[in-house]
Amino acid sequence: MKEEQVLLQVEDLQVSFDTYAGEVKAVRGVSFEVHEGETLAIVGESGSGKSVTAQAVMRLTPDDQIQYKNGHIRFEDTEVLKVSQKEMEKIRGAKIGMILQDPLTSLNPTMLVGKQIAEGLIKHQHLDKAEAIKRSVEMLKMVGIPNAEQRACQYPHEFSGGMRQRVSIAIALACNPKLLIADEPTTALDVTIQAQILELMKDLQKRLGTSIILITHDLGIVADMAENIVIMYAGRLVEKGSCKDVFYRPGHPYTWGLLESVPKIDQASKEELDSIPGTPPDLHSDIKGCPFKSRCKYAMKICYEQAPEAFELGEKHTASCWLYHENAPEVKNPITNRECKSDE
Amino acid sequence: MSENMVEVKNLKKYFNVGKGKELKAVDGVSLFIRKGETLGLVGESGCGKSTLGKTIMKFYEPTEGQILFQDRDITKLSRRGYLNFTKEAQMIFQDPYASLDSRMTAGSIISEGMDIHKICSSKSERQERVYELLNLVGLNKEHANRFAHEFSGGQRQRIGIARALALNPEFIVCDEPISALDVSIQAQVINLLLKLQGELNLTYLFIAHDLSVVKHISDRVAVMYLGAIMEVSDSHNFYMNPLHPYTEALLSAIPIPNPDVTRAKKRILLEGDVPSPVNPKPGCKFASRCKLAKPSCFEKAPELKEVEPGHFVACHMVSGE
Amino acid sequence: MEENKELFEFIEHSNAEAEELYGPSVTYWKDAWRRLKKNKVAMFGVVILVLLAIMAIFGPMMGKYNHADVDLINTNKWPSGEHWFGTDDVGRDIWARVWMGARVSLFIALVAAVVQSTIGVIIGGISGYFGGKLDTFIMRATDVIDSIPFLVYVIVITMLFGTGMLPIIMAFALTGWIKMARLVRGQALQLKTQDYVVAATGLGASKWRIIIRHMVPNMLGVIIVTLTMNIPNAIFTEAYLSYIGIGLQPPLTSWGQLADAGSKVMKAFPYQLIIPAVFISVTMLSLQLLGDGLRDALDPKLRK
Repeated sequence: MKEEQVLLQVEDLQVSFDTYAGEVKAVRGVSFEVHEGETLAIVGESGSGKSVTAQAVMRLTPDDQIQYKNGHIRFEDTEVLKVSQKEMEKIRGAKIGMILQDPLTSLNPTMLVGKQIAEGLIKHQHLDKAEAIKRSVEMLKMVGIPNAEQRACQYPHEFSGGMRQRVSIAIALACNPKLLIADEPTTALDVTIQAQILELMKDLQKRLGTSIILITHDLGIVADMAENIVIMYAGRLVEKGSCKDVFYRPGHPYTWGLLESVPKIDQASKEELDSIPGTPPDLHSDIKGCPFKSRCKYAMKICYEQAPEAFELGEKHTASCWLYHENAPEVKNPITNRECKSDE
Repeated sequence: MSENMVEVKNLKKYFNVGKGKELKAVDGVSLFIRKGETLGLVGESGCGKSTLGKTIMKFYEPTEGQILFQDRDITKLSRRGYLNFTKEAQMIFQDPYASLDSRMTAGSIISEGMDIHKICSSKSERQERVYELLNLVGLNKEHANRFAHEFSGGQRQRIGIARALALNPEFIVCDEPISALDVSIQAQVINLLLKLQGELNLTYLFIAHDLSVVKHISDRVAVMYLGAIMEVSDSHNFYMNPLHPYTEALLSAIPIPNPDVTRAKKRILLEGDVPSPVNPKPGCKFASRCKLAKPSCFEKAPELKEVEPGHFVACHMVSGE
Repeated sequence: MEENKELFEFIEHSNAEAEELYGPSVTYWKDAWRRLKKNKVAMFGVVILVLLAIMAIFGPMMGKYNHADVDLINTNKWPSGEHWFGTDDVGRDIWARVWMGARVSLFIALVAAVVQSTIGVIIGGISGYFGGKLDTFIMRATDVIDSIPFLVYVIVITMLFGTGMLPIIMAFALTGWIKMARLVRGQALQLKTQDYVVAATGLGASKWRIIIRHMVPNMLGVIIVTLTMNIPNAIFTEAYLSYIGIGLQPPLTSWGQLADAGSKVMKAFPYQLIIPAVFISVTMLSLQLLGDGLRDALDPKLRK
């Protein structure tokens, strides 16, 4: 395996919001990095902090609504959390592109599609108008929109859901960014359209070498797309590793639960699924110990008292779970049927 | 008496969308649901699966066709007939937030049906029944006085299930009951639905777009596209031996949570988008995206034919016409 | 690693723990009240309104003078220790008159707003929920009623019934419901497609049960906000009618009456205009602030 350049590094990120009901600690100490050309999937349920983490990378939320309590984000040479919003404007769109879940709300309904793509080109690459429009037609062709010349002169509502998502990909990639953040890019789409979009993203990544942060809750998409995976739960990172590590040698009981709770093809119909009981914790309060403890089959006393550190399970594979402590009782990993052991 | 809980014959539901245009949400559907089984109904958004479920539930008046429920014709119902029907057939909704009135307590939501039908003679009897139902769906007594907005999505969905069960129905339409829930919660609800079916001998029409879930929970699966049924088969055949080109494409498109399997899988990528259901063209609904389509497919719509026992397909190519 | 071995023993826990709900149970209204209390600006409005209401009850008893007592020796006195707000052109104590006026103004406004809202909710609710031809008919009729200027109603009613409190309230009631009706109709149209209403229908609920048990409670927030916003409107309109001389007639007084009287001697004795004008403005402002606060507190979209 070649040593890739680190493009983005997130370290001990902690993010909070103020709401009517009090402070929400959405992200509670998350670290990961994205290498050049790789696809990193951030997996988690709603409220796990996965979207907040991604938005922090772009500093998308207005500064007065969000508090970055701790940690730093380093993108190339930029300390993302330290620079001004003006500096960020030079990075957003130019070096980091983003696609959102709902292409209908992320596109401007009163602006021609071609113009929306050209906008970023004019701003960041200082192209003149004619050139920018020409480029945007090329972009539309690249994302597989037929009759690109005519389609560039249409409004978003004249496109179908899948086509709209193609347009947002064209906008996000117009300035050839180093990093593409895709926040649930296919959740609003149907499976057959989802397959088209995922195929397109893979193809474009191959051609352009863009790194992708893919945020999703769908383990199937992750298995298909990701090289490395970060699993988040209640604002914390519970497991981090390569795609094969996470799917074939998962270490955290939450990951076990996720993998076991999806029906498998070879599983007998109507058989009971291994579900995770209960609901995720309330993010308004402080969580003492491990956030997953009350839903975990393997909870120990220490889980209620101290948050687990990240234990090394293999090369670049960590799980934040006390089961890997040397004093912990022996437990069989339900996925591999082998004993849980730390690498240390 | 036949063994069918529900039988739908050539059901049509058109919506008038102005200027003489008609949205043909359900366009000539015939199917049956046997007593005690789960029929999975899959299809992409806008294919009319939800409208079909709601029409069977009598939330919409059918434009044409006939609905038989336990051999009774329920296509037209009087108020009294409808009241009786509500005791036998209930629905579970997709969005656990929109489907519960957040200003009511869990107890009053669950007991609403009992109040309407005046089933319980006393307050204490009603309360007992509420506790029993809460218990049945994995909640407890203390939850009865909590307001709906205090519950999480998964808990709200279980309250919705308890509400549907309050009248002891035999048939339940589950309209995408898990698609708004998180992955870890989905399995809870699936298990609950399976458990209840076993204990209460329920018949389900399970509407969803998640094929692996549908395969898991259903005895038989019906695939719908643009208002028409493309294929009906038992769930094993649906997965292992799909015959309709649309079913094949649908199955090949779902990503499987196993990197080696999903990356090795050959995808059938469908070109383009689902056409609009407003004033659809004649012929097979799927013809415009079908790789096998012949000129005849654009002229005449194929009928749903039994090609092997229990396996129905609506395709000229498969039935060899 | 120094951790104690026994920390690593498994704990038995029941699933009930994972299902637990935290915090005390709060009703929608308690929650809204809690949020309103946090809103300082709105609470300022509430405090002012409570003070005004208390003073409207007890204010007239606090001064030494009766609001109707004419004292031709002490006319047009500036505010002083004797007459806190001064006296008017026939020597009546303005302090006493302001609080008597407050009773009348606030009463008219409150009654008018409640009557308007009730009519509006009923008509709008029926129109929205039942829909179809009835809806079209009601909405067109509403348009016709709305197209006739308010003053025409007032003039016709005063011609028929004379001046006084009742005719004014009638005029308000006749026209003020339209805004509320349109609003409630919109709400009803939206609510009736909600899944919980569909679910209630599926349980066999009758139309009236749905309206009373599901629609009205869920519209109440919007209704209350609009009602609160209607009150200042009524206060101002009453003042304006009095000012142009077709409102209340003396000896009955209201803030509008006082302002009208004050405006006639505005140059020589500006306090006679300024005092009632300040009361009108402060009341309207407080109600607006409260209305805004209520809207924020009751808006379900802001709920977590």
